[in-house]
Amino acid sequence: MNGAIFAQLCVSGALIGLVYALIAYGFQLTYATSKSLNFGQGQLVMVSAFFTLTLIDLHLPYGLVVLLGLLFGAALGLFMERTGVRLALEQKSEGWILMTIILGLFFGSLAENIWGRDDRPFPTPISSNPIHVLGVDVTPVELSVGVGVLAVMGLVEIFKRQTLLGKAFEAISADRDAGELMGISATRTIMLSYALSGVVAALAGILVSPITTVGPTMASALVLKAYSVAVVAGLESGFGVVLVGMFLGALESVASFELGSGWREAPGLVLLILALAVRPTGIFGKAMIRKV
Amino acid sequence: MKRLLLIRGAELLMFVVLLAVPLGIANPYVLGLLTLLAIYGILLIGLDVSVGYLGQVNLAQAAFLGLGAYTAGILVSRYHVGFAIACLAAFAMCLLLGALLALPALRLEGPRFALATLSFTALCTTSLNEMEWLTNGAQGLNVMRPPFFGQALGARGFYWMCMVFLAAVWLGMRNVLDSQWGRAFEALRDSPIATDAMGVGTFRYKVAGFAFGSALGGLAGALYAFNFQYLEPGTYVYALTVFLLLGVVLGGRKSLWGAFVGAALVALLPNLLSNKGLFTTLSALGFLLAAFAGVRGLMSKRTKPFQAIAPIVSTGMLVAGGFLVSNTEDWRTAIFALMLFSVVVGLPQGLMGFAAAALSKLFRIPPQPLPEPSPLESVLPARREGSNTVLLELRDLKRHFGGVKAVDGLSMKVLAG
Repeated sequence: MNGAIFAQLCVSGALIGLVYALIAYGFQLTYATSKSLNFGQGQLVMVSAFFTLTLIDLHLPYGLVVLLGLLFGAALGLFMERTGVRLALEQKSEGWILMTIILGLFFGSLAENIWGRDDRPFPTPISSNPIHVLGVDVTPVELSVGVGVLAVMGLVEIFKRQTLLGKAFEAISADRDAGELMGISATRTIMLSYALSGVVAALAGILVSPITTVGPTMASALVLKAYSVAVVAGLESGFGVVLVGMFLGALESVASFELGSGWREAPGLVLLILALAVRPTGIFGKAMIRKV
Repeated sequence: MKRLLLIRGAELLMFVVLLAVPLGIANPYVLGLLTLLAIYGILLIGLDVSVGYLGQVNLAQAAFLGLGAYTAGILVSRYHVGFAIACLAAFAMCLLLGALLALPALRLEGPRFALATLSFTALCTTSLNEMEWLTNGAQGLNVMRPPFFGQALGARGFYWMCMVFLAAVWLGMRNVLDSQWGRAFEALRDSPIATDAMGVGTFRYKVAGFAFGSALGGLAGALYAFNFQYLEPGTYVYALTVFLLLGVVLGGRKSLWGAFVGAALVALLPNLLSNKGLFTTLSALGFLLAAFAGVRGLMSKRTKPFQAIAPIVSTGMLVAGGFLVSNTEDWRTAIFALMLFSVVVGLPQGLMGFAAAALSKLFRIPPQPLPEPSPLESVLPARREGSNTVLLELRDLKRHFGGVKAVDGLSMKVLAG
């Protein structure tokens, strides 16, 4: 394979990889506060994308559409937290794994019946004519994915460090009991983290849909890779998911070029199982010492 | 004693009735459903080992069903092996692969384990799809049902075959659970760390248990292949694996009956939904039950408001959906999700856990007593006067937990008697 094609594959793969990183980042947000993550995240991405598509069909201005889509994502995240996660957390069980899977199935089926089973194109005002940069073709749509993902992750990180609410978030992540003793409501913080996670999922849907089209299959395709990214990078490091996400995206597009498109998913999954075997806490994760 | 008699009686009665069905009913449709029920029964009993007894969310069982089915299918269609050998090969294959998956995956817990098994399922589907030279890829593989020791198996014969397999697995499983293994599993689920400290090798038991459960999945897969006589990779995907897992939870974890009820639901659900009258009746019953239990729970203030109200709302949605939606088949997944939601929230023990509690109240059976401790004489070797046999000898024992030294340089001898 010659260098130019290789570079091209790596760059466009890495930009898509950032979407996986963004979804994985959504897992990290809820994992930090509550040690739980939403197994229905893929369906949240899909339902938010479909909702946004409906708004676009109503010919609302694009900025407003994106804003409403993100709010919708936040609402879904809150709904997930209330119905699927809170009870299990109160009982200190791992029932939330099942509950979020169940809710995910419900949302998936709902979306199938409301919006149909077919893949639909997702119009966007951003052009998809390639620009030539350093010997590689990049479309503005792909660039918007990269910029959007990094911007939103940066914003959330700034929010966590600079605002009072964000500091409460960090406090609960670091030590829930100590945080509660300082007068921070853990339940509200967990709600906040789920709302943020929903926003992030909705944004991932809005960013990736112009490239992949919207359809019921997008949920499982995206979320499997996001799982791989989250586990390989570890559930603590935001910087880690960006690196691993870009790496995985590039690897995937090279693999599908070399081995055939059916093997597209394979490198991520192999990477995941390998990472689990070698370093179960993830490359950038911290080993946890458990008290008995 | 009474408890044992009732349970064994119920098991015997169920198998006799199930075995007798084809004598009375010759309808091939009913027979097909019951065969599927037996196959799913084996599959879910296997899944229950990891979900119920090891307490892990295992999303790989559909993959083992597929691997078993393809192992048996390829052996039969390419190499013309017999029925028994194909089943055995599927069992052994999944035992091996299950152990291989378990070795890295079982070092993980909770969500990470679920993710690892989910990726395994996805990887298997991809491989089955892409390894066309072996599996015929997406075009699917035709499998002839092999003869059983020279006898061709008709639909009825095959059904009896599956039932015999189910009964054998059921009996075998019960014996395993009553043995040292069952107790180790039980201890593992409650606290792996405590189990480790008691000297039971946690990891070994976990891997063995997971591999055994997977092997049962492989056996079910072989029967599945011979039942449908056509395999395609698209069958063994995320949706199926989740349905299987939820079937176990719905039926009730840690119970053979629970696994069986779960299998019945997974196998019969599509048909239940196509019959609208039945569906409306059942959902209305569920709603009344949830409303009754919810209101009672709220009045006595024993259950949390969410736990009482959420099942009412979700079964209410089922009833309302039954009137609003014309084609319930399309809403299969959503309906299943709603049913599960109300069961998981309202009856955390599953349907059979709830039924078992209700039945033992009805028949006034006391809960199973803890086993009596064995008398010391039978555990310790017989005492002999004047013998100097050393039972245990320690030299320079050291044990530290991180920086904390608990024991350092301990030497001792324990003599018999």
